Amino acid sequence: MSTWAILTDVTKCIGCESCVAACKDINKTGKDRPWRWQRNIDSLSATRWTTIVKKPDHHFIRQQCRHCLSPACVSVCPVGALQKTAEGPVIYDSSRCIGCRYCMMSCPFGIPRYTWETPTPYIRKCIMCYQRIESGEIKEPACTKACPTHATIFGDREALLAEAHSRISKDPGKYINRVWGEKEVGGTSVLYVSDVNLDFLSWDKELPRGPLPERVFTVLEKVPKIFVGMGVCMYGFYWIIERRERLMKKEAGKPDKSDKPDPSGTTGTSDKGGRP
Amino acid sequence: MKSVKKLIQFVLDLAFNSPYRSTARVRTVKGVLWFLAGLGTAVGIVRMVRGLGATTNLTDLTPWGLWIGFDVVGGVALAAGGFVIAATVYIFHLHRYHAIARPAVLTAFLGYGAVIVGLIFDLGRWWDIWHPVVYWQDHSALFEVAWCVMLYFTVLALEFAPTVFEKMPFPRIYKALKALTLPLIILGIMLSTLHQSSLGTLFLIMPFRIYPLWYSGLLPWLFFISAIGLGLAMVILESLVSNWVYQREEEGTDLLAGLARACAVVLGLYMAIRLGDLAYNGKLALLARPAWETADFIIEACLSVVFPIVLFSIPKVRKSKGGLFIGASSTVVGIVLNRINVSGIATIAATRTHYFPAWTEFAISIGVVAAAALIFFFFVEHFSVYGPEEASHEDTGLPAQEPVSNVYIGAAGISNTALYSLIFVLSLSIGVYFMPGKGHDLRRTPVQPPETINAGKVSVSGQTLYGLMPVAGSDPVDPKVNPNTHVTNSPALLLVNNDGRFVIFEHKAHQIMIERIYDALQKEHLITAGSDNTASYSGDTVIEKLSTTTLDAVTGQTYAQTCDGAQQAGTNTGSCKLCHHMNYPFNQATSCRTCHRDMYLPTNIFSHGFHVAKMDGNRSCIKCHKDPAAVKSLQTAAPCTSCHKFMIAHNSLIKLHDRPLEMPAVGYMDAMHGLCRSCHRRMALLYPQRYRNLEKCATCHQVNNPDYLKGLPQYPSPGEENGQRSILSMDVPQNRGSYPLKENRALSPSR
Repeated sequence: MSTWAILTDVTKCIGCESCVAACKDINKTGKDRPWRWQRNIDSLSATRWTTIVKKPDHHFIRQQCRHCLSPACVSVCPVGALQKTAEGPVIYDSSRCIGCRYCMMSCPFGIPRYTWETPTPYIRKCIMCYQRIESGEIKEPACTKACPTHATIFGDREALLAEAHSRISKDPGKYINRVWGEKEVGGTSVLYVSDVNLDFLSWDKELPRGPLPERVFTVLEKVPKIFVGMGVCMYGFYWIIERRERLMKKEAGKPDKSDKPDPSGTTGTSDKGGRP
Repeated sequence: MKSVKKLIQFVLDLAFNSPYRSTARVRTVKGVLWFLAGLGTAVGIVRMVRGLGATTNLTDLTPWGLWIGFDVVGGVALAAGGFVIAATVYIFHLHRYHAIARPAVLTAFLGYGAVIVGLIFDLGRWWDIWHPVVYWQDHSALFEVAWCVMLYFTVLALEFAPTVFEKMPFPRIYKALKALTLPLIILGIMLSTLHQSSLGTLFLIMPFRIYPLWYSGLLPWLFFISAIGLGLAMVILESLVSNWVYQREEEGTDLLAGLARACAVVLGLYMAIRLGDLAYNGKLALLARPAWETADFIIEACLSVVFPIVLFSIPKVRKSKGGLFIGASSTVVGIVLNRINVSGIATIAATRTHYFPAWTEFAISIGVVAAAALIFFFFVEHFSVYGPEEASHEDTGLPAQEPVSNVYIGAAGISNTALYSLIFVLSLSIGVYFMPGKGHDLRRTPVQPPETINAGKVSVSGQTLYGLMPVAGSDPVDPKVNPNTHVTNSPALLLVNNDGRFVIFEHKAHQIMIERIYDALQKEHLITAGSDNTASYSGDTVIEKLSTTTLDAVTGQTYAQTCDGAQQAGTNTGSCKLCHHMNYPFNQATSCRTCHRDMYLPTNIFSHGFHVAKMDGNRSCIKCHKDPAAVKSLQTAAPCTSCHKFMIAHNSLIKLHDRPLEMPAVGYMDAMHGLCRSCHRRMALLYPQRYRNLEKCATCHQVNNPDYLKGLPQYPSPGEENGQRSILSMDVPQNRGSYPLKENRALSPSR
């Protein structure tokens, strides 16, 4: 399997939250508690890595980490605590984290959560059961396994994309002709097909198509050049002005020597000044 | 040894011998600063002990707040004066600004110190702040910022060190430091350029979060240029303030006027680029949009650029202290506002959350600044920060004792140290006193009462019926008419069902059942009863117990009996907590699923005990377990269909809504059937080929025998059933639909 992915079909979800329960069980996240920093008890939280968003007319949308193909959170983490695995899941190394919460700021879907309540906090988010699948303990994430209606399924990204498109083409009246996660911010490993618009899952109505980290890379690429260039420029300025001053003093040196101990107020600006 | 002695003497002098005699103004200013620092310290301690949740108003959706916006992003910009003045003096040889180079470098040094301290408060795992040194991730703008701040802080310390070392008995170190001045200055400028702009780069990755008026691909440039303007304004402001505090001679307002002019030029350039960028990207129209962001943008632009430029371009204003003060303050406030906007306020629209810093956040931000100011004053008083003429201030104060009479005539009633200590301790205790008691004070929303109808339960000739309360006196549910009626006291009608259906929730019955389980648990010492008859328990234990114990075993009684008993039993307050927990968010009641864990699971409906009882006790074993020698298990038992011929009856299709909709809300089992079955049926009709078996009992009700389904003969497809009455109809029994429901909304038609 090349890239792990999850396809969620909103039309099939009955909102039973079996995926939530399975996730909580396998990750031992514990009981949801009423904290100030979350909107509702059943919104995503440090103890609830996936949840069901209820929308009018019996639409249930599962929210979870999208495991972007080029994840913003991974690119911004200053210590590499978040990592994009070769298989696709974005995982978290708590031993590296310094708690800057830049990942939370940078996520276009607002997914990472924080254990604000403790003095030793961590980031918490879905990791697609990476370690357990990797070690062969389970075959697929707990959430997709638990889904009684197969509304959310696990598989290879290419295969699931094909499946998503075939579902849409088989029943064009039922679905909106769009696979969420196919192209946004460079594509995500968690895909959605739906009969309602799912743009509310991200901060912005229209997410940029290109990967977000590139915006920063293009700037950071220039850093060494700017660094060295600035140094060279500054030394150049220093050298030129120093030399000019020296030469000026040499010329002016003979008639007026009294200027020498106090060089202030003579050079470089039209402002009449100097200290009183 | 000598130098050690000298060093000790030096430190002791620093600590106890201030050459500076404080005036009343200095004492007042310092007193206030000590107070603020004390308050900040108190909050700081609590933040370290209790964590961010207890001391900030940050949320998962607004993870960065005042500490990042002001202390870090703003603080770095505020400290830009250091590299700007250093460049002016050492690179561009504008020597007349030499007098303000030292205070500017000191301000920058302390500013970065404040940034680091602020960052330590903000970082969740602050003890790991050194991680960027070891774990490299050079794709992150924050990684670059971290390194630059670390390096530049060191550089600034070295830049400022000569001021300290000139008074210390280490001439060689002093000389070496002096010789390093130029490389350090250039290195400082290089680092500053990088990370002033990198702070802008930090926000490039969140175009979706920041309001378009602030988001721009040029953010790094804008941050860098505005930092230069802010640095200049900060130097002006800090000179004016320290002149005022120490009632020093006017330190060349002409000098400051020169800075003000440069500041105006830089600010003009900054705004030109910014507006040009907005125009280029077609965002200027946003300025006409009536939104509070527009007002915010205009206020910020006026404060940071328009107002200072106007003031600074009038020579008369520029050279007056008042004009300089107002202009510089306006720039400082405006550009810091810009930083806070970018890192917080401009994201409100996207996140749709409101964040306003807690007082504790303000206390730490202000406390850190106050502490930095105190250290600034300390250096000013003990070292020649403002040039060598500072020393003349030493003896201006009065002697403490009148030389002849030996009478105390000093200004201070109590010594400065004692005064400041007192203030510090006082504010520390005030801070501790007002500290929020718990990290998570719930903002409760008012509890919504459950939707209730007048529904009840009645026993009619041995059968339990659910129904509405009687309308007419002749109704069988009326207790007067039917003495068998057991009406629950306050049956709550709850929406449990994704289909929009209601279910009758019998409050009393649930209460009693839960209390019984408590009793059982108490006997097992799993929970302990308090003296006030309230049980203290772990909610999880009870739920665990509930979900693993079959209800029959626990209650052992029929509903009707428990209902009767309830009247006399009184209430055990312990059970309320299980569902109505005030500690649940927003007072949400527990969902049925918390206890009824099988709600969405395929359910085993085979009751062994029931069959044994029904079939005459032990004698009946062989009726199902036909081979007496075989192990008696599910696998060896006869299939259900061997007796229940009807189970595989021809056309045994489930039908739900062949009855008028006006029927009362249903009980748990019917609710569960209503939850899944309507959709199953619909899908089976829509896709007869694919979902052929979907609406059969066995689809959800497993009999734990994997071969069970195989034992069933093929069902006819729905088309074949025309005109035939289903034998095993799982229709709602007739006697349940006989009580008209007043509120139609209680039962919405099936989709």
